Amino acid sequence: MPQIGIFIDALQGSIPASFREKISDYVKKLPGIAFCIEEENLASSEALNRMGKRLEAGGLDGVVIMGGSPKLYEASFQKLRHPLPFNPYLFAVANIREQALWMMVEEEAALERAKTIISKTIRAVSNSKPIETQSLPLKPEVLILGGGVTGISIAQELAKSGLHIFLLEKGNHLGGKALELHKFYNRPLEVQKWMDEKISEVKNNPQITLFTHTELKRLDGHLGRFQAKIQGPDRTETVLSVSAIVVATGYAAKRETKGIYSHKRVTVFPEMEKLLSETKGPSLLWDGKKVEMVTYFLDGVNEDIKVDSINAVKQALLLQEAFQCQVAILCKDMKVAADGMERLYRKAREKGVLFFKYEEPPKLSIVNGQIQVDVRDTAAIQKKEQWPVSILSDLVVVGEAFVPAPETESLSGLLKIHLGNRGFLMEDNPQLLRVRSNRRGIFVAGACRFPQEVSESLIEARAAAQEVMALLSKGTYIYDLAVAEVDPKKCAVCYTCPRLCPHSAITVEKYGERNVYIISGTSQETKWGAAKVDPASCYGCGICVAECPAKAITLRHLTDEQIYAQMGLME
Amino acid sequence: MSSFDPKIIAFCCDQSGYPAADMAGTLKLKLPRNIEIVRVPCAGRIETIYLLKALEKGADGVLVFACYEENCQFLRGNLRAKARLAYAHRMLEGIGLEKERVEICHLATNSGVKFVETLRRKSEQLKKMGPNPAKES
Repeated sequence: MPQIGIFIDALQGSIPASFREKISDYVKKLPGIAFCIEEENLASSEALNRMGKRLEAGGLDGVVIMGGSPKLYEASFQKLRHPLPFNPYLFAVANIREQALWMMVEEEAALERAKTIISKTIRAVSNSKPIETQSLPLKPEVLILGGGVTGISIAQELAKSGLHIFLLEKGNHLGGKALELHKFYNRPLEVQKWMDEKISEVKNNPQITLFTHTELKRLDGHLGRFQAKIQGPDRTETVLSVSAIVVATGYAAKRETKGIYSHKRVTVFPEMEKLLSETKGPSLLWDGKKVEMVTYFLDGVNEDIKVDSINAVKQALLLQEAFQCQVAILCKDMKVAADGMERLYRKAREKGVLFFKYEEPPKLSIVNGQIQVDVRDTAAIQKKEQWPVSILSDLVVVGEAFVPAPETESLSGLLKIHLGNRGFLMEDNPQLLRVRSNRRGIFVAGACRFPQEVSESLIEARAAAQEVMALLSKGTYIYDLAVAEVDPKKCAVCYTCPRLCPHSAITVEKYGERNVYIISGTSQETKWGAAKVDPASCYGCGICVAECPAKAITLRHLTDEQIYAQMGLME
Repeated sequence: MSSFDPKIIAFCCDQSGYPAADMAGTLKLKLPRNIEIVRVPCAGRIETIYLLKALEKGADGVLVFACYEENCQFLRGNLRAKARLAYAHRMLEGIGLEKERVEICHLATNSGVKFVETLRRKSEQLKKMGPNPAKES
């Protein structure tokens, strides 16, 4: 007969004394109860100390806490790891406050309900087994894919913390899309000078091993034991073993070339940026002629309005101030949701940059070698009478479509991480876990997730570096074995679970002793292939457990018996 | 027949269903009497056999509380649960049981009211349907 210890938590009086008394009378009559202690507030440190002393005495097979929601107690016991001398998986919580006391109309019914919950919980805990903790050594080595501004910044941050970094770049030079920039919108620095400093620092840092013209070919293993096969410039292959991987492969831009967009007086942002950085004189020349009127047409080609808005306002100010041009910016919606952008936008208005808001896309036509832009401005006072405006421009600047970098899809297959809706890489949780991928130990940062401005990428780079440090700084990864486990003898290698695992924690490996589906003695090999769950990568969701046709997988902290006990179906 | 109080087993996923149940308690919303709440880490943990066993062993109805679609912490857990429910429905039809006895409800952590309303509606519906004829006496 298992011995169960009971703690009744009054939750600071929210479970009334009369109710507690009835509960404790009922509990004391049950068989196999070692003790029943009432506490005023179990989450307080004094109560936890008393509880610890009581548990140290030993002789218990399980502990049931009667009180509020298990989520309350899990927060204080498991996640904060209060050092209770008892396995956290032998605790069970009977939620008699939320589910009985507060949910039933009459007290009589509440008491009945509470009794059922208690007996269910005691059954469940009698079926629990202790779950041990394991630790995984982590080498201080990180692989970063992509040598753009994000990748470089992460490498610099991590090198400062003493990690060794392998930085992979598919092209022959570092810098990525940031090399197309001339000025920051929010800092007085020259981008190229700043980038050159960063790049030379990365190149001379002994902590960073740089690979250019190199691509990832294959990835095996899980957190702490990733084996990355990379291919260098002359098809030489190297295998790197790293603890964590950061993906910062950036985005690609696609220029629209159809129709009027191929006209020589239509250009794109990077070319404009280049022109502005190269021109020194008081006037701007395009195709040998002086430029006086520049029109920016946002939202036409590119739907990611944020980066284009920033660049348009930044360039417009430069054009107005340094080159005496008149600038008009046409957009459906201006997006100034970046640090300091509101101020910059106001400044642009004050300097005389014209902003037109349209609903129907403007028409572009060629008049005497110039481009005439016809737009109906909806920002007029009379909403119904949209004011038709024609702007005869020397130069029209349009956006480029931002698309995922061409290798993103194959990379997501190699790394087994998810793609989002538009083909960019997907983070684990867009609100809470912004730089983690769905796999433990793989992080995604920068414009491979969505197109972004340099300052935004720098913030993401810092966030990713912090996440990597938080994972690797201790040198070990400690985890509970509360995970799914495959019985290799039952596994039929049907590949259902590796396909379904949301965190790609399951692989098929040769480790099983014997598989019933293979007739023994037909092969020389002693180890058979079977699905294997990597315990450090498993999040314990149980999808594979429920799906396995051979019922070869069990969830260690929530077995069938425990579920049946919760359903009240156990005899 | 008026004294018939249908027994419902409510599977609650740890990300949405269970916090919603807690929320319902905190709001002191009143539930029908005969409900068993089963806490699972993800709706994807719920096997078809659990749904059928519940009916066999005495439940009159089964409800699965899962996250909204495309909102699952484990990406497809709620969709897997839905697929298994569809499988269970086919089996129930095969043996001549009403498939309405097993149902999935998508909700969010803060849907305490929806949690209780769904259970009340189910309870009323089951009262009209009568006891589950398949349960072991």
